[in-house]
Amino acid sequence: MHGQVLFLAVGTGVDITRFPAGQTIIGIDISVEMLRRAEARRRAYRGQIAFVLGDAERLAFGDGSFDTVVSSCTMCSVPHPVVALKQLYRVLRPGGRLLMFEHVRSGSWPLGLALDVMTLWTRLLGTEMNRDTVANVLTAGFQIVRIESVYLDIILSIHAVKPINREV
Amino acid sequence: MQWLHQLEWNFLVLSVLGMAAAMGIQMLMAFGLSPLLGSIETMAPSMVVAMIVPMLVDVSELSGWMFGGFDAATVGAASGFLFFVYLGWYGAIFRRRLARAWPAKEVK
Repeated sequence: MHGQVLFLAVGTGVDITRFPAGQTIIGIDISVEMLRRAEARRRAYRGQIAFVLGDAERLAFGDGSFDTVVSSCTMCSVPHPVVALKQLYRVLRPGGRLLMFEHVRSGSWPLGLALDVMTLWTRLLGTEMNRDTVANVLTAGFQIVRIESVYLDIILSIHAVKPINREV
Repeated sequence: MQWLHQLEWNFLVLSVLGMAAAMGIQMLMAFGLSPLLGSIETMAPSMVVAMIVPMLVDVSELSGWMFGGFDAATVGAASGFLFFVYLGWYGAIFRRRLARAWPAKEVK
């Protein structure tokens, strides 16, 4: 995480406590209530964080505005993840990093089936548990640098970059 | 599901109701435990056991092998253990595959 950072979907701000100190971050969320709840964590952060009300699918930032984009458990809840990822691609400078912590559909058939069935319920609460976020990241034009398993192939840490010499 | 089966209704109705009940209980447990586990995704393996074991019990009873509550619980526990072993194997395979696909390197 370095340079101008965009933190996508602040939520309650629980991730802020894990950010390295001294960063310059703009955090967005689609919910005013969530930003209100995250306010205490924003104030406690030892660095600069500004909150902006915003939609991941319609980012109000110029092209190449950020050096790093961070998202945590976001692509399960965005209605159109590829649209959102293309927006992230747009606002990242060439060579900029996308750092994601996301849960995805398992490649194991019993686990994948379980996640499909769970999605029938969790969708009502606004989250899809069976998305192929790795494929979506590639579809949006990013290059994946590294993927780490946090829990089996269900919870992943994804590190991608916007290629320097390519546009979608 | 075993309790539902003892109602001796239609097999298909019992299967659907039993599966739904088992999964519903699992989902409630998942939400209840998620603050401790960190996420409900970690409940996916037990969801698998909750789906498969009731079906095993039902199919067994359909073929004439009647289960008592203790037997059903034993099958559930054994299935849970076997799935635990499978997860260990699958996790190791997946991590090996990741290491091959994305060898550790840092972008400057």
